[in-house]
Amino acid sequence: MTIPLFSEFQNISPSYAVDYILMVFFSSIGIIQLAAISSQLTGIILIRNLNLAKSIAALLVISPVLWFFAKTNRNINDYAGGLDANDQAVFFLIGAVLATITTLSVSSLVNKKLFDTNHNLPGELHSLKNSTYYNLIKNVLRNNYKNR
Amino acid sequence: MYFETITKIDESIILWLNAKVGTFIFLDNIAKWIVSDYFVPVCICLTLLFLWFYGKNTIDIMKSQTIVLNSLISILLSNTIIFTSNLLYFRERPYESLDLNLLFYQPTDSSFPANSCTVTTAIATTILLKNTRFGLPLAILVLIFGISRIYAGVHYPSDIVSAWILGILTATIIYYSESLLSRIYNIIFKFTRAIYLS
Repeated sequence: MTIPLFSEFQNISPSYAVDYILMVFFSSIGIIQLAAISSQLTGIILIRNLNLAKSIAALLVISPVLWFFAKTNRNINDYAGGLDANDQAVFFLIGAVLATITTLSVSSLVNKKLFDTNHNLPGELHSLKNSTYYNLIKNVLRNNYKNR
Repeated sequence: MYFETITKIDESIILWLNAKVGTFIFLDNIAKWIVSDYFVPVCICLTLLFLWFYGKNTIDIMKSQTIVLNSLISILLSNTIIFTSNLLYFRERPYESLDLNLLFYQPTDSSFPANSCTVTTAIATTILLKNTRFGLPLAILVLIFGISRIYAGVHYPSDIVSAWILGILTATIIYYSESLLSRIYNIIFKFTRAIYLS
């Protein structure tokens, strides 16, 4: 069975691709959490207890990788169902983007009560130190509407 | 003459290293993970994702994100070098002419230079030139990755050494071209800043 989306992906086993995307997705959530904790981007940290957050994030990074390799033999040629470098790049991008969207959405919900809407935050990633992602986007849209 | 000498050295090193396969099953299993097409590339890509969100202030974050963009350019450049090299020269894999214990599937592309090793070295060096804290562990991982590929019987030592040289060369070119690339980076930052991601 092959993924019918693109001819380039014809040799890829769907379960192999799904496994790879799942590994990247969960590991990426963990790695974003570790970066957010190190950079004190409180608005995107999912757990308020930082020690617990660090431990869970580290577990989230490592365990999907262990699962991916332990599940089955991963040394398979790309014409026999494995992923070549291009497939890997595409699937990594999908997993990482999904993880980023999930982190930004869930953290906006989890930290909703933590921050008041601040109207004067600069338009940069570091503003997530004092706001949730949802609040920042809401402010941008509100300011754009006012300036019309 | 010179080529024959290199081939002889190559063969003696790979035969000596590969003869150890089967001695320590645990080591073989670790080597199977490390030489795989996924482990080291995923570790490196996750580091790049980490760097995108890393920094104590806006300037630090921009520095980290510049490393990520430099790394992406180094992937493009190293792949171009590999593609050109493969058009000009094809080298058989060591298992085709030597009696080896393979810990990997049988790749059919050119053995020289080691493709994955060139790209991963280029990224690790790009990071190392700007940030030793994150670059050094990756450089060590890439070093182990290269040696594991010889141990697994996939590459000759000279394939790996040339990959390391090409990777380092690529990263150095990117490092010294950063001011030229900054215009492109500013456009990217303008877009990502609009969605609060830089």
